[in-house]
Amino acid sequence: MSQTKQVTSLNESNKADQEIDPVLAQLVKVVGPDNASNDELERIVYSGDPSSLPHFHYRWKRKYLADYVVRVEKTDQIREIILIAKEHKLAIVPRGGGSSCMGSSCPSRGGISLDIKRMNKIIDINAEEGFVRVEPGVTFADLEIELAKKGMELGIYPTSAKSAVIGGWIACGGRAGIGTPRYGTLEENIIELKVVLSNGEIKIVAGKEALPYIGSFGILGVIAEAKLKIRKKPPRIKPLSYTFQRLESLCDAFTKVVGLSAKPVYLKIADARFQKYSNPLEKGRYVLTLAYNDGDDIPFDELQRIVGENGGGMLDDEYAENEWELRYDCEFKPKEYCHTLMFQEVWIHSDNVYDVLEAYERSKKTHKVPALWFGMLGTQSMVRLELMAMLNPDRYLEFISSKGILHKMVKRSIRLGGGPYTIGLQNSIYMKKAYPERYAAMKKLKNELDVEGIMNPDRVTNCLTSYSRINLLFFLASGFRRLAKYVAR
Amino acid sequence: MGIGGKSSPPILSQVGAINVRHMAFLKDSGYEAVPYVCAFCGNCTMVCPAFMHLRWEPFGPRGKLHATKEIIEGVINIDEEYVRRMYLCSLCDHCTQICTTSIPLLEFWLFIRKEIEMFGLTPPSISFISKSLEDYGDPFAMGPESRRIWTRGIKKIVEPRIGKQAETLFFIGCACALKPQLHGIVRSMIKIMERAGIDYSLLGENEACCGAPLLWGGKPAGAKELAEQNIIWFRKIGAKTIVFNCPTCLNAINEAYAKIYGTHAEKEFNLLTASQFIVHLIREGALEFEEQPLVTVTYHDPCVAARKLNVIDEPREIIDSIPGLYKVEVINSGKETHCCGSHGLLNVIDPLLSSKIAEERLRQMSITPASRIITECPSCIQSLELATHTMQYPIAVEHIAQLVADALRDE
Ligand SMILES: Cc1cc2nc3c(=O)[nH]c(=O)nc-3n(C[C@H](O)[C@H](O)[C@H](O)COP(=O)(O)OP(=O)(O)OC[C@H]3O[C@@H](n4cnc5c(N)ncnc54)[C@H](O)[C@@H]3O)c2cc1C
Ligand code: SF4
Ligand code: SF4
Repeated sequence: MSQTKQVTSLNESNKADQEIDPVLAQLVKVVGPDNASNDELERIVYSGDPSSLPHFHYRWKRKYLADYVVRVEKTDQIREIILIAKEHKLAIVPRGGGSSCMGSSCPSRGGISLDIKRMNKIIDINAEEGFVRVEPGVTFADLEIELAKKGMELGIYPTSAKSAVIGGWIACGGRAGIGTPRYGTLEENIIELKVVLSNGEIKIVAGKEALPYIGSFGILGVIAEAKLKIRKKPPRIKPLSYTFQRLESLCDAFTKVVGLSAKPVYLKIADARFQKYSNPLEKGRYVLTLAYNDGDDIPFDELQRIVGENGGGMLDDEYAENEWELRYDCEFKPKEYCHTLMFQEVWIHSDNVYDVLEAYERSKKTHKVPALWFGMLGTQSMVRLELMAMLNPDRYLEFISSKGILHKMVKRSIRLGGGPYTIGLQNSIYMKKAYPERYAAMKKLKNELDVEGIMNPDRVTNCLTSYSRINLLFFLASGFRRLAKYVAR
Repeated sequence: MGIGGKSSPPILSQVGAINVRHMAFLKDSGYEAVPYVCAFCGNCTMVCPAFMHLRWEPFGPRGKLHATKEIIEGVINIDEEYVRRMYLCSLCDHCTQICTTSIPLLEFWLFIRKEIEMFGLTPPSISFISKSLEDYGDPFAMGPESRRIWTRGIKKIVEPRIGKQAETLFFIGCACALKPQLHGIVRSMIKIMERAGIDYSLLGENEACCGAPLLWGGKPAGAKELAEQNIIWFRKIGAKTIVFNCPTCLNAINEAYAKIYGTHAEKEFNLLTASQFIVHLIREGALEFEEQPLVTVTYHDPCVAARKLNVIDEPREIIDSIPGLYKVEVINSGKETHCCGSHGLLNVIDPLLSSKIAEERLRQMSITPASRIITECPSCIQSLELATHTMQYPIAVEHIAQLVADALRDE
């Protein structure tokens, strides 16, 4: 395409590189000179994600830099690139918006960063039968615009919808997002998927057969197309916000609101610190925000009663509207105020939210963790809790101690029947403990489908380090901390 | 020096600890912390016109910040490749608008260009424009005497206005004064002012470039000088209100004023875009319109007008007050407007990319039932008009002043 010509000429070295690098030459043959690169700058940018780890930590990873970046536009190209990777035993790291955290789309053994953002066609919208067929690189914004023309919507999307693409969210599992409490998770909204496996086979999977690919983080194959349910777009959204003085009251109200039969499209809870940095109209200590489809029966009276029983108060419309407006941005807003925003996401039952949050809040006092948090309802009972710490990397002990506390919180969530939310590179150590059945099934499938182990290695079913090693590390760190305290005293 | 303005992220003052002291690039500029404020969330990537067309992540703002971080840390070197990438940006400001961590990205991109200039790495095509500005006072190497060519045919009306003492001054701008394709805009503004009975003045050959292209080319000092020359003339004329038919000119002079005098220009002058000026005239009843033959129009918000100057409602109010005109909104309007591709010298550095961006914007407009595109930036008009040819989609593209002037009731 003509506009990309400039990119090639930007990358003057590409031609020469192809002569020296036969793999690049092969890749170029498939996608053309404008769409494959081994340029260092390209590789650096394509190897990162929002994981806020200081650089030194990041670079411990074995081979954190991709060897090549390839942009594909067609399913056949994915297939051919995978076959080249197989031939040279190169890892394939699929990449959508690169917004998933935990190093999900970061290489661990170099290889090919496979950018699917150019596969951005909306193939078919069928309003009568209620489905849309899309390529994986379609953005949520484009999808919203096109569906709205027919009075329809997907109805579910992550709060990272400004940066993520549909294929990336599918590969991450899409368990919690706007709309999921009302319309179900991605799993319940996917009709079928087209995947390209590591042996080059192109397969359509539906129903039970599709489940392993949802939340596979690219370890089984590359999602090349998806058929998803769509629904009528509601005329408006009605947001409501409430404030509470005590964590216990907030969590009690939260559990009761979750139990109401009317399901919101958005239900968020957050502490005062998170609110302070994310919503300029900061008020109260804890905030609960809900948003309903305006067409639904909104349980105003029940909400009022639940909030009243817990000593809470209603916030004004302006605040609630602002909360809704900020749904995309609130999560990373605190980063504006600190060098490193460390975070961990856990996935737990709404009944256990208090348990985890109380423990996390305690760590603020016991371990001086600069903690803050927010949570959003995912399914009708499960919650994605994001536990954060605002850090300065110079304070290494604070960094380690916060990391240790976050590790403890994941362990606590696992004990309570939950686990980490995003798995990616960093949380794969918990897979076996938190989701043993899923782990076993995925491991079996991975061994069957990806014999060479080239598809996004070192995550979900395999890990660069082990749970026990990490556990020991934090045990020692905590012992060292106690000793240091004792000596200081 | 820190990054000024109330939108500056607070962390910028705290990040002294980062190991960047030994690096020459951005050293002690106050901007070296910017890449570290970025949360790498990627929100800015999807709205960036350069990314949207090139689809390589390094061309998006997040990628540009990532690359800059690597330079600061000495992982990669600052070279022509990096410079080209940084210049593949229309300075449309959409990334600043969307940035999760409120980084003043536009300011940062401009500062990077200044740094690039200091390293002697400014692309030759940009240096050529800068040289023209320094030698001729305009980017087209035409010189001050050419600034009257638009007056042909209406000399009798406008010549007496040049250099005249008046409270209202009409600032024409290089593109409108020197490019015949845009003379219609100037004439329309003249017609409107004459009809409203405004006592206005013009600077003629004493008008200098607003300085924006020098700022975009990494030469803020030169830009300030040009802006100051203009401000001195505003004072000589005794102007209180200055009307601009290009929002970029207004913004450049406004910002330069603040830098030169340390205070807001509005304390001394009332700087208005064409639509802000015209809307006043309409509200005062100074303009009357002929019924139009059921024309449907759509409004393209120029980046600077919408995002920097917040001029969004005024042009719409004007359209609504002309009988027989119907307005339809294009997707991505107001502060979410999409760039026309020509801003920030992108049309000089990569004309092809620039025109592809314009084509995409035109495609968005083409979905509406509008038969005319209205805007208030001469640059947008040029690039969208070009796109109508390259896409073979014949639709009129007009300045708001042209729309108004053509709809005026005959005297
Ligand atoms: C501000 C912010 C808010 C967020 N909010 C939410 C939220 O509400 N809910 C939520 O679930 N997550 C959330 N996330 C996490 C993340 O953004 C999402 O999970 C998102 O959907 C990832 O999409 P992406 O396109 O950026 O994927 P990427 O980050 O590019 O990739 C994610 C994973 O999927 C793999 N992958 C990508 N494309 C494909 C493909 N076509 N085939 C196979 N594998 C592929 C990658 O290798 C990687 O392992 C948030 C993140 C941020 C930064
Ligand atoms: S100013 Fe516009 S073109 Fe430049 S990086 Fe930001 S969004 Fe992209
Ligand atoms: S939106 Fe802001 S914080 Fe997010 S990646 Fe872009 S520059 Fe960084």
